Amino acid sequence: MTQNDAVDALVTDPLGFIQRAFARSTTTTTTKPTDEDWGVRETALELTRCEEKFNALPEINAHGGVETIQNNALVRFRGLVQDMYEPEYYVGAYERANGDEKTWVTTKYAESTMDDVNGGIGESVLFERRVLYCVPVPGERRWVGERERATMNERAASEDAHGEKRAREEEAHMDLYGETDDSLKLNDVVEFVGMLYYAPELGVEKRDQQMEDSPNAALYASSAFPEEDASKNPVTSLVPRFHALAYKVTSQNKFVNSTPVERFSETEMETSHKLSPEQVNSARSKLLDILTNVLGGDVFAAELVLMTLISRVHTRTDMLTLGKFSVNLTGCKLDSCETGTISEMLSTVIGQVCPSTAHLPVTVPALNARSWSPKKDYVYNRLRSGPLQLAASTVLLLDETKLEAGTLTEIGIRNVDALKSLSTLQDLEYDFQYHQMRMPVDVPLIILSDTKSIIPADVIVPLRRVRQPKVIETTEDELAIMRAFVSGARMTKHTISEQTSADIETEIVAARKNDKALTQEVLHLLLTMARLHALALGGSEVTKQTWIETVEINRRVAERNRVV
Amino acid sequence: MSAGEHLHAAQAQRDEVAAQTYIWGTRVNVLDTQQRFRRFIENFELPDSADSYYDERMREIYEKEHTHLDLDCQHVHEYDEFLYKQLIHYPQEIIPLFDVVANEYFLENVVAPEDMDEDTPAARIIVRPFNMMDAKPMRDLNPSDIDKMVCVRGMVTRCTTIIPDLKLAYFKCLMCGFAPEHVQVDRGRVNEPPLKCTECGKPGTMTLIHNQCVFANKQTVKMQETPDAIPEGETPHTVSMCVFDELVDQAKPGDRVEVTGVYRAVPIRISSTRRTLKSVYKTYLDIIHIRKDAGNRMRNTAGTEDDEAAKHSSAERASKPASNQNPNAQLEFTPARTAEIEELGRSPDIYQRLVASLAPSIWELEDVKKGLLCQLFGATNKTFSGTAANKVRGDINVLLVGDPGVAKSQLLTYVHRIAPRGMYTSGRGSSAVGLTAYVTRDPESKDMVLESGALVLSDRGICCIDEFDKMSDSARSMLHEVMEQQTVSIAKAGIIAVLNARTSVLASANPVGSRYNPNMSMVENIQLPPTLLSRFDLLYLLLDRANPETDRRLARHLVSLHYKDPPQKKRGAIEASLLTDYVSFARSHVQPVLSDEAAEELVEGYVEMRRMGGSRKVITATPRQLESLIRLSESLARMRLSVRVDRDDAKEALRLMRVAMQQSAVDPRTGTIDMDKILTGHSASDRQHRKVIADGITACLTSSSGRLRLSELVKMLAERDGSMALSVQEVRDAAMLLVEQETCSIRGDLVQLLA
Repeated sequence: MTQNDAVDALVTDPLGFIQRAFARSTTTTTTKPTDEDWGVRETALELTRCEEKFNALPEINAHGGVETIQNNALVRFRGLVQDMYEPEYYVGAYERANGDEKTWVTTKYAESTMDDVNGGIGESVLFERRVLYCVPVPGERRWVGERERATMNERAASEDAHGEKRAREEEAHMDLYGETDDSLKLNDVVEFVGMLYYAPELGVEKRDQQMEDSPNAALYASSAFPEEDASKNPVTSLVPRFHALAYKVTSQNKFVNSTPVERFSETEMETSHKLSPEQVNSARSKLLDILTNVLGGDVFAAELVLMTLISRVHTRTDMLTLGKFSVNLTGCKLDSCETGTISEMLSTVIGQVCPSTAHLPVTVPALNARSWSPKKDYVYNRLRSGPLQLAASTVLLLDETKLEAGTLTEIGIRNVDALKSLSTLQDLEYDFQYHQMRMPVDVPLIILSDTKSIIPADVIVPLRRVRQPKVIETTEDELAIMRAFVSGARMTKHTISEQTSADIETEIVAARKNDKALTQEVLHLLLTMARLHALALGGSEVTKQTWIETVEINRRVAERNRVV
Repeated sequence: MSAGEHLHAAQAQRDEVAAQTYIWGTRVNVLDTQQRFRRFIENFELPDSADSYYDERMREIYEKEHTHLDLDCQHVHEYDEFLYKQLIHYPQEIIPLFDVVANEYFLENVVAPEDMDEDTPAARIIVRPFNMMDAKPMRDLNPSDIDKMVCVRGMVTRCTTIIPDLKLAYFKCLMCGFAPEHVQVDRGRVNEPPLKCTECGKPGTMTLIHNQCVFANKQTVKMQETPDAIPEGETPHTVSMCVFDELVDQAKPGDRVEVTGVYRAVPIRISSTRRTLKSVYKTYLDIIHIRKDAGNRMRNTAGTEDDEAAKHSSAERASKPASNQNPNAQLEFTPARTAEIEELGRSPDIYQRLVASLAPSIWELEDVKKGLLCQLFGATNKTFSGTAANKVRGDINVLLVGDPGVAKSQLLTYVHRIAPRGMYTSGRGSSAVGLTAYVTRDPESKDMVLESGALVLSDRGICCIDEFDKMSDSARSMLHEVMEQQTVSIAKAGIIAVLNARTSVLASANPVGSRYNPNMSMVENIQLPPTLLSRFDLLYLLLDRANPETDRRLARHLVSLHYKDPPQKKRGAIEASLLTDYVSFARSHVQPVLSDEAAEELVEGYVEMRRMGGSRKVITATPRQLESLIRLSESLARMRLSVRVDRDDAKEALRLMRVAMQQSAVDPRTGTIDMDKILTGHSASDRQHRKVIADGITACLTSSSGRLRLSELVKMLAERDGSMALSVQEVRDAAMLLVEQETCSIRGDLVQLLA
């Protein structure tokens, strides 16, 4: 069988293909089968290299509900790793009696049950697999991946329509096999290829009843923590199980500028947009135009917002997070006669160009209501997610305009602390009750407030509105290049020449002589802004000119703060 | 054949059967194993003792009427490696054999013959192995460990209530009332009675009679990986454990434990009607032994230091075996970690390495970092008994004052994360309540409860207070008590309590005019009460002065940090978690004592510091500084894990103190160090200056009507002497001097000469 045939066989009948691959490798040995992949993995990886076949695989995110997918069919799924469960032991292979003849069969890569406890099963071996709890990327916009869906066949297109509303709620238990590397981390955005299983074996009530009824329950695992067991093994109609053959850690930004095959193959993290200079110019000016309109005609504020949108943490040291940039726009409270709020409009337009966004109103009741950062629930033994558990590059928009005086409870204070640490260090403390764990995050932060925000931001700009904020129309073509521009700018690796760095050093020394306010913190900020300024112009190189312009931007920020 | 010979023959025959008896499915030979274990019990001795160790333990068990024998697996490994391997591979089979041998030995050699009677149970001792050669990380448990003995460390997160677990089952025939002997339940399985009653022969009449059965306590416990074992970016793993009898309730949520047990996997049945098994297995540990970690809770230095104090006070201090051999010994660090820490302590450049490891991303500020290290390590607390009963704090307090944007907050955050018990709070918005302790009503029980604030929570740790200058006066007054008496008193809502707050304070403050004014003294710049300032051992002034030399280096550092290479780890830098452990270890294990030459050095240095101001009648050092110097030199010795404070430690302490004083206590008018600046807020030259103004005021008042407004005085004084360009405040201060001398009175802004 050629690789090509193997790929076809895998796509048409994945479970059959796996069983055959297993049978081929076990007939030659007399010992018990061991936990291998029998060449399945290689075939799956080969599939990810076949442009046409790989693209044709249904994608669950797009498909509107698992109901439209056949059980154990090969599909694609992308999601955020929200929690990681304990490894699971399962009977990976067992001997099935067929008359006098006994054959080994495998249950690997499948939601399997074994028949005939007493009769047919001979020997069996235990294998181990990893279980992840994945959710669709929080705040992901509907247009993400649309470009790929458009190239798929009509079958997919027709199914798109009726399932839209469920697609957002889909989540899955992800079974990973034979993974020895620790490359997967919490909050990673991951693309999977594998088989989906969702048919409910039996309902929740039925199972509970059986637990009590079972006459010799002692023989089997009796449950001391029923809540936990129920949450870890939910019925598959609620949370489908997904058996992964291959996966790749990816980023939201890549869904804009690369194809699935590229995403699976490429190892280099940085991919730029493939836009011409003219396209970059038009994307940039259109984007600034949209932002300016939303911000009531304030071009300068729009430029700073653009810089935030394309910011990304590129280096982390013990107490420094470099590359992050947050902006606080003050004076964003609209009079009651005006319609809508700036934050809603801004959220709308940012969502049109950034793959994922989160929009959180900051009010005293909202802060007191629940923990915003994830918290370990020991009753259910799982991580309770919070609104701040976000994938990297998700733009977080905080609307503080409705904040009024009030008393914060302990939860409220913790939430404010979480936001502060998010803004200053880009990390989030997860509450494991007996200890805290800091997780790195990378969310560009925009805070809209009336007066200076309670959360520190890198730059505070009083908004100067000259007209009514409004959302302006954009064409599909304009949106496409703006999306490519934003995602591309985020992924671009900046460069600098030796000469420029020497020039900037000289500038810094000279500036510090005259300006005492030029502290280390300000210098960090200027260097970050210079990089973002260069990227916002569509380039990748930081030049002396960029530096001079950045210093000017900083001066204008200071000037605005003085005047207001 | 005589009866004796017959018995002998029977014994021989039994032995022969046993000799050939292998446990099914294993290579365990019953007799061989029993003989090996018997030899071990009889002969194993510790290196420094000539008696059989386990014989002694059994006598102890006999005397104290215990029921379990803790078996150190490392002893077994040392004595008989084969037996150790068998134990680990077939615990389920081997441990019962050990039980039999231990009980035989116990009855034969330990129990006094006169105590033997029918009531003496044949099986009393349960063997509990512990301390295996290597503890397995929870993450590395895999299917090959099933049914083997493993040793795992972790933190208890949940416990169920106690469940009665059937031990001896009592069956009775419903027809004829025949009841066979109690049936033993072996690890959760009952040998069911015959289907037919053996007496009346009726089928299916045997019934379990609950209230005649014997039950034991059982509990299911959840354990989670300790935070340091979790790889970055992953969530902790957990494992279920079943504990029985005496082990029940030994571990509570929050405890750090090391457990030894048998790893099990059982299938989950999905349906009793369909004969289908889910292919997924559930795993748990059957626990044999639990060893608790030090301090019970998360690692902190409080537990051990308190123990230390208790030990000192109580005369009774029995010699105990080395901690590793004691099954109940609290363990703190793994032996490997301890070795790593000690190795680190031996490195000759440890001081430099510590400095390099503390906040490496913060530019320069070497001496400040050294001061913070002193604070992290702390000094010993001294308690004097007898007539002069008194306690001297060992905590070092540090204040950082400086321009905004000089990484003060970053330093604080860093210390907060490194300190074993660090709390972080901001002076702004933290009322006295948030800092100390307060009474609230519990939302569930509606009871009044005392809640600890940051200072109490950081007992035996470091409380980092940012924006110290923004703190309310009431909060500051609380700090007075904390920083000298090391307690927090609270009297509210009928609750009166004095809570321990033996905490070091690390505070940062901004100068009054947001930027430091070099023409004013430190006290004028920060306007904190001098009484509070004097409680800080070290005051650092962090100024951001432009200097082309350092600026160029800073610029190069920043540009390359942002645009070029990712920052390189400094050579010899210590990883943060190791640093925390190192600090914890040093604080709990090392109690340095001042050597004679160090004391001499300190005294000399102190005298010299006092002499500096001698000619000008200014105070350059006070006894408080001497105390601080002792603390600093002790903490410097601790950094080297040395129990002796050397001359070099004293020298470095003096240097650190001078550096800190140079920055903070220098009188800007004279350029010399003047402790009065900090103690009273006024320097000697200040007092001189005030006296001159006061004389001027008297002159002005006598030359006019005797009543003048402050503003008029300012004008008149300036007219009299051009050099006297004074502020209203300065004039008021000087006038206050006259009020004290009762020559004047001030009402509003009106100064009046008294007749």
